[in-house]
Amino acid sequence: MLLNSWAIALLVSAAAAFFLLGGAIRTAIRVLFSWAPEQDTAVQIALENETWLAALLVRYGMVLQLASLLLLVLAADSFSHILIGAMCATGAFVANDYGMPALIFKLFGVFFYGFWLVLHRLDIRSEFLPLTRIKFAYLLLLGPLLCADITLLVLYLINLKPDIITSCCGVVFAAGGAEDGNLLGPLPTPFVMLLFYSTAAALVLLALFLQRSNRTADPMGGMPVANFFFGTICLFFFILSLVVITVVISPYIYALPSHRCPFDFLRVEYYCVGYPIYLTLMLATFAGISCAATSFLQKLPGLAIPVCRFRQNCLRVFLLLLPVFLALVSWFPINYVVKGGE
Amino acid sequence: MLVLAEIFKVYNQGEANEVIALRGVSLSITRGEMVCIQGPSGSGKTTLLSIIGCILPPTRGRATIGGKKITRLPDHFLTDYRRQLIGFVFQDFNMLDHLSVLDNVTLPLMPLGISPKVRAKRGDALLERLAISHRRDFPLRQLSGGELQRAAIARALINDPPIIIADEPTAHLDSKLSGEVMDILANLKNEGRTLVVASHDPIVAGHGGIDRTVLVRDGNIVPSQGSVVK
Amino acid sequence: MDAPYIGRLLNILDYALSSLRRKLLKNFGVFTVFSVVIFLFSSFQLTSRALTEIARQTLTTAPDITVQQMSAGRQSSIPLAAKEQLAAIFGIKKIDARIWGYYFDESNGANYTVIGMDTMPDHAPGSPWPGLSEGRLPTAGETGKAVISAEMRRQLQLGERKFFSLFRPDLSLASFETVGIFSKDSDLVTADLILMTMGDARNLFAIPDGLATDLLVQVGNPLEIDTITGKIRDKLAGVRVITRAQIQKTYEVVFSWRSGLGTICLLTALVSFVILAWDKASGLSQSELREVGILKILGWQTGDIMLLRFFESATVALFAFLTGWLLAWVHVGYFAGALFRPIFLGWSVLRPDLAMVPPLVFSDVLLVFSISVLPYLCATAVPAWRAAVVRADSVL
Repeated sequence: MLLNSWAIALLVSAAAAFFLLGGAIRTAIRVLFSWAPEQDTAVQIALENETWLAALLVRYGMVLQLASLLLLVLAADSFSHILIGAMCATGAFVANDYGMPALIFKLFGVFFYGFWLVLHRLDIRSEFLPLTRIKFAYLLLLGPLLCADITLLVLYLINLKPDIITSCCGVVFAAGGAEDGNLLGPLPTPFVMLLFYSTAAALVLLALFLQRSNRTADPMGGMPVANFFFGTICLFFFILSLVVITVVISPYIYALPSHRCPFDFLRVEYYCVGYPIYLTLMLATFAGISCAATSFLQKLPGLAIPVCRFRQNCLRVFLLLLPVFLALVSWFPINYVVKGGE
Repeated sequence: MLVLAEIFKVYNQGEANEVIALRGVSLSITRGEMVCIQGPSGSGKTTLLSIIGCILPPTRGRATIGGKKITRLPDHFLTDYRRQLIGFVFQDFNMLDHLSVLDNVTLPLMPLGISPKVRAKRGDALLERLAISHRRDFPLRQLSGGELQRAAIARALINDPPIIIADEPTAHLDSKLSGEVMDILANLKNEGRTLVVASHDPIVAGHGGIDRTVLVRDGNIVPSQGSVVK
Repeated sequence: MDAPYIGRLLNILDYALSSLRRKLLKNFGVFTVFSVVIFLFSSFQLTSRALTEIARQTLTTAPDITVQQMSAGRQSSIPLAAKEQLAAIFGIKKIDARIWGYYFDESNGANYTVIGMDTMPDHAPGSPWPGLSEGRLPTAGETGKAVISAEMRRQLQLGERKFFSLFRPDLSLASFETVGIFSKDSDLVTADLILMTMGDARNLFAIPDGLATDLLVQVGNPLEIDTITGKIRDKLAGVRVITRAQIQKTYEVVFSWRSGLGTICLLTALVSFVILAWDKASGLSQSELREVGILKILGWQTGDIMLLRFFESATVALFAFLTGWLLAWVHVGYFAGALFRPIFLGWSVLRPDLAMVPPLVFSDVLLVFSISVLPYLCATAVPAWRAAVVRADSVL
């Protein structure tokens, strides 16, 4: 189904992202081959200038990635009107094998772009530019990621085939079997919710602990174990939250026990409540993981203070957004229970 | 305030059109000093000013300006130091024609995120001091050369830098105005600022405020006249 | 380096706006071309959105299920006896037979759709059919009464007259009196429609008694439509069963396909525009070089200049987007998408004279935005950088 405005919009942004990242990777290769910060040669000056271009391109790429993530979800929502049997965006995503992987790649792509920008931001805070080689080596990894992303997207769109009724030739239609939207299988709800809230509590406590212990710029990086745990639990919590939102929370939002769709509540009918939910979750997770992942960078020359300050900001953002996310998510079931099940 | 030791500057290093502009310049200027740098064109005078002004990093050698080491520094750090430490006055003023006098003067404050109100306040104070506040909102083309150079000096002072670099500040002015501009610059010395003036104008070199004249030739300071203390 | 974030943004935005004002003429070309590109894209999207909306509204009067007899893979007449067979299915509220076909009018080369029914759809009891603007529907047993659209009336050159004639297959004339006019709202499906009683249609097309073209099934509970569809298919051999939802989807597929095709054509326009934008943005004039050099020597960072350039491009893009979108809105809402209607409604000689009211949908805005503004901004990235790395010593 490439001949659809949504598909074309997705492909246009994929092409744009391809060119942007292509430019950045060209710089990355040149940097990895001939970066010599101690020299004042014409090549080195050109390279230093080019790093700004690469940063700009990745920043644009990140915006594109975010936009195309949103586009993909809205496109699936629009496809669901066309696909026989698809009642909501979930149905459109599971219409073939490539939909969900394409979505997941897009989602994590945003994070990977974001981490590069974090590296860049910290790198330019030190006069020694200690992360330049690392960040450009990492940038090379974004290439295959984007290629996989685009490939999956194209495969998804090509394999999306609406059954068409026309006025002249007959088609025998498949019965419209509605997709339930529950991709994740039945899980014991109380257990999942207990896990969800206790993980959140553990994260808040860990974040407070890290905030306290990270007040001063400790050149040794400090607490590698605590940071590792914090980062891992953040990632786990992110995935768990997606499950919880889909399986447990969404029926309360729709006030329909059988409707489990993680996309529909982005619609105006549900006051677009999905945007703040996902935005706070993604930002909090990103801040949390960035905080954990940058802890070992404090040892690098000139980075002790910038990293310390950056991590404090991350923790502040995390501690601000996580409660907001929890409140948003908990509001619907609590409201339902308080009002006595309407 | 300013120490250069064995500074080399090579343009286009590693290319066919490699040019060695400075060959081991050593120079030190103390706080509150007013130094005149002289030299024929192509002598490396402009390059020396660029390195003192944190515009270019030296290729080799050690340099500290205002207590900051500026050798082997990425460009954005150099820019940051330039912003904090240096005020520039140029021979052809280098003002932006489409902005008013006040906007030109407060231009360096814009990327610092300073609000328009505060910018205007600081700009007004300086315009007042340099006696051109009556020209505050005028477009630049209505200003005379002397007024332009005063505005340029106001702009150089907006960040309250400890060092002022003037590159041929009197080139486009008649002798009376030249004297006035030199008087203004010399006055800045009394506030504890360090001044580096590059010029081959005798009015500049002979001005009473100049503490020392440095002659640059063929990429180095001429030793015999290296530091003529007046 | 740690300037107040918002303050810095505002100051640089301020500078960008003033510099845009100065370069108004230079930016006007880009602005105009970009507005036109966005106008074309959004007209397409809005037309497709409005048509989908009209189809959806119109189809609410369509039957839940349509049953057609298939023979050798083509549609043929269905015996009325099938009606009795289906009546036994639990959950069916009502079954009506219908004759429909095409009538080719040689005098003006147009194809009309003729529908003959004895019981007219009556979704709102007590009120006339929602699709009627004046008059009434023919009632069962009447002969020679028909409902047509205003468009059809013009086509048949009726003027104030009420009577018109159509040819039977044996070239004898059947005469009809206009008793009602379809409302404009449903023009998409009724523009070329002549509605009459079943007897009249049988007479016009010379269809033998006991046969109809299809059966229209009303279902009590909409949730059971899919189940009942299955049961009908089991009961009657060789029939095609179409639900309203499927017709709706077909319309959407057709519109989405056509708008996609249009978008592909417009992509050429977009690409050439992006090249123009790139070209415009990359040329650095002597005065621009001087300006950037001065800014840099005064302590503006490379990032500040890139931000400045971004603000310039983004402002142009945003204004062009708003202009293009508004023009498209007027084009579709007031001029009924005159430029593109033939592409969307090109299957019929009669051009429906639709009143389209495109709803404002966020996703449409985002769609057009991402297909036009984002590529443009990407194209300005490299020129912005090129301008930003002008060296500070260039002004010495």
